[in-house]
Amino acid sequence: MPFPLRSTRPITALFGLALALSTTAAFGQPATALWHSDLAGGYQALVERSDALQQRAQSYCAAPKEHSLETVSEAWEEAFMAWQRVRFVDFGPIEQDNIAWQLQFWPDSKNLVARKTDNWLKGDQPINAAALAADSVAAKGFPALEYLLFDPRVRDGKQALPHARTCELVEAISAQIHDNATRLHSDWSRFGSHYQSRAEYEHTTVSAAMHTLEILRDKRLAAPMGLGGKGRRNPYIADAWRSGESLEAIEATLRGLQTYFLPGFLQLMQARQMTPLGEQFGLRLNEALVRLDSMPDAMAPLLKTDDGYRSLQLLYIDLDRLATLLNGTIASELGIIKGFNASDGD
Amino acid sequence: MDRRAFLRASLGSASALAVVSVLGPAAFASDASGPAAWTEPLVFSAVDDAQGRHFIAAIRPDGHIAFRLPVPERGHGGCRRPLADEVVMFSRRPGRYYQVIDFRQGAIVRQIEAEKDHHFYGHGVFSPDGDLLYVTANHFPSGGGRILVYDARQAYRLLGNLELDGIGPHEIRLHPDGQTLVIALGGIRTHPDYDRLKLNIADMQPALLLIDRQTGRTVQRHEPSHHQLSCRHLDVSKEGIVIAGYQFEGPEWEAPPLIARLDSATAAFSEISLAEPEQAALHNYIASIAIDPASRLVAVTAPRGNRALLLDYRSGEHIETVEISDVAGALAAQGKAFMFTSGLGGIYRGSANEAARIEGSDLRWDNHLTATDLRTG
Repeated sequence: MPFPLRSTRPITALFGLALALSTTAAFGQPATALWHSDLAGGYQALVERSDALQQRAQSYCAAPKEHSLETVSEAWEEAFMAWQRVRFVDFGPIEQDNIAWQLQFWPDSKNLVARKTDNWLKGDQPINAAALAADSVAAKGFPALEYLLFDPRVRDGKQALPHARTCELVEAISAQIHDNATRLHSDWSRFGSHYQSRAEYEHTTVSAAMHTLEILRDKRLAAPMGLGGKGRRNPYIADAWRSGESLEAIEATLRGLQTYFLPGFLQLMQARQMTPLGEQFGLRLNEALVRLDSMPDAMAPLLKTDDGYRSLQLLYIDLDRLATLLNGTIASELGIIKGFNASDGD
Repeated sequence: MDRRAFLRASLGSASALAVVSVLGPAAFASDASGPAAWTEPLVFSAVDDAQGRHFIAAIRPDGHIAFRLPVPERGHGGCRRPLADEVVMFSRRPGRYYQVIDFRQGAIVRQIEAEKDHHFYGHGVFSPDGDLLYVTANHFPSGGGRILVYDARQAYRLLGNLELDGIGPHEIRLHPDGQTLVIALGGIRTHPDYDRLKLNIADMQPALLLIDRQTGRTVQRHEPSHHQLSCRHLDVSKEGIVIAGYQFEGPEWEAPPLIARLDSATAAFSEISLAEPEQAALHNYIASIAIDPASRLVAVTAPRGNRALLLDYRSGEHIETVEISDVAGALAAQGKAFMFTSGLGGIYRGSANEAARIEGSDLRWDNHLTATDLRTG
């Protein structure tokens, strides 16, 4: 088949797709059962990566001469990408106590991440789990850590790591991310019987993917490209711009859809006698991933050149086709309607 | 066919309603041969169109849209000013404006902006003489809930405020004694820096409050059975029975009671649990409450559950369920029926076992209906 394969990773992904089709067909597992176990794996990966992050932060801060800061930055990136892969889930335990926001405060048009994190750096209040828990979501989670690890305002300042107070803050925020990930994972397993006993969660789960594709296309890609609105290109409204991982993060979210959403989705489509549409979605998803695989991790440099911008436009077209297929054709075939007050009432 | 003839010809067709309503205010204003004023009772609601633009719409008793007026923010609730031809409509939380509408002219005659450091929650109520307007608001630097008091006789000048002991006052209604304000205190802290993000889910303190509108003194305070049951909407019967609706901020796999009943004469406060699976079908979310003054019925809408419940507000007995997708606003209509609106489009008239759609546009109706005829609203 004429797939535009350009690297090895998407080939594995296609195998995954075929495998998913054959195993689910064989076992006839309900879609929600598959989603529940797949996502348990996704949350488990987040627990492991955030545990590694916490430990690297501790080791580095305990003996900064023996460990490089890069070990912490790399652990941040791995944990952050594990979060991106499960970020599409917007129901269930993630809704408790704003955990999604605690993990990633975004968008941040007022630069609250820098302001709130600076308050901790400049103040002399004790840094501990309880104090941090009581503060703004902007001073928690991956963006606050990213600010401390990557932003020149900190890296080139007097409190650059391994400054003691900055280290304390990095350790406290990493520990809190790990706590939230652990809670998420255990709540997800408790949520299992409720989730699998109610048929409406089939549509809830598809709606989560629909919503994620809209955000990917409109907020995470089109907005920094300056499409719509004021028309000005602005890399700072993308997520993970400080670490230069905006596109890598988009790729991780799509990869998460492929790994944790697609198998259950194909099962659902098969049960509704819509297998071809489901497979079409899997192929388009893969096409977008193939393109992303050939692109750099950062978005900012691509916004500065014509060639770079053109590659973003092609990615936009991929995401738009993907979103249109799921949110238009497939949603309407499945009878999924997004309520105005039901989804955003008051 | 000239434009007026076209409009007349298309009035009977639901599909033409969007056209009519777009032209409504302009056609009215420029049409010298048309009615001098809107004389029939109207029902007001905030509404978005399919493009996401925000309007206040006026609905005629037959379900047709009389006119709609563009507003800068998505609207929410409203209230009629007694003894005057005015309805006030509020922007949705965190709202910056409210509009004063002359409902005979079909025009916004005033737009009031929230004072510095405050935003509105989307609801308000007048004193019985129509002189004073009480508006629920957030003083966001402190997070404290306030009732801002405006003087409608003086161009809606801000007179002052009543400080509440709590966070997040949402819907407010006047008790039939004319003296007491009944307030649903949601308990949820928000700040404009964080848009609609809920900042204190772990330690919310929601309540149903009765306060004296002149002194601000708390007359009664009742707390929901769980601290994450955000008390948001309510209505009061002529006997002083309050029915309040909650939104549960806790786990979606739990199904706590969502409807409270207070007999304000005896201060007897209780919660109404429905039989399973009816309770779980509400999806932990009540949008609006409307008591029918002509019967014992109260309508309670649950948009996430795609259903409205009709209860006997005296006994708390669940009488029937009306299934409407994304059902939003509710208002008592004549003949033991209720008017309902849907966020997916459509106005319905619902009575025993049926809900007939009486308006067909794709306008997205927000959660509340406000009648100009005080007997029904």
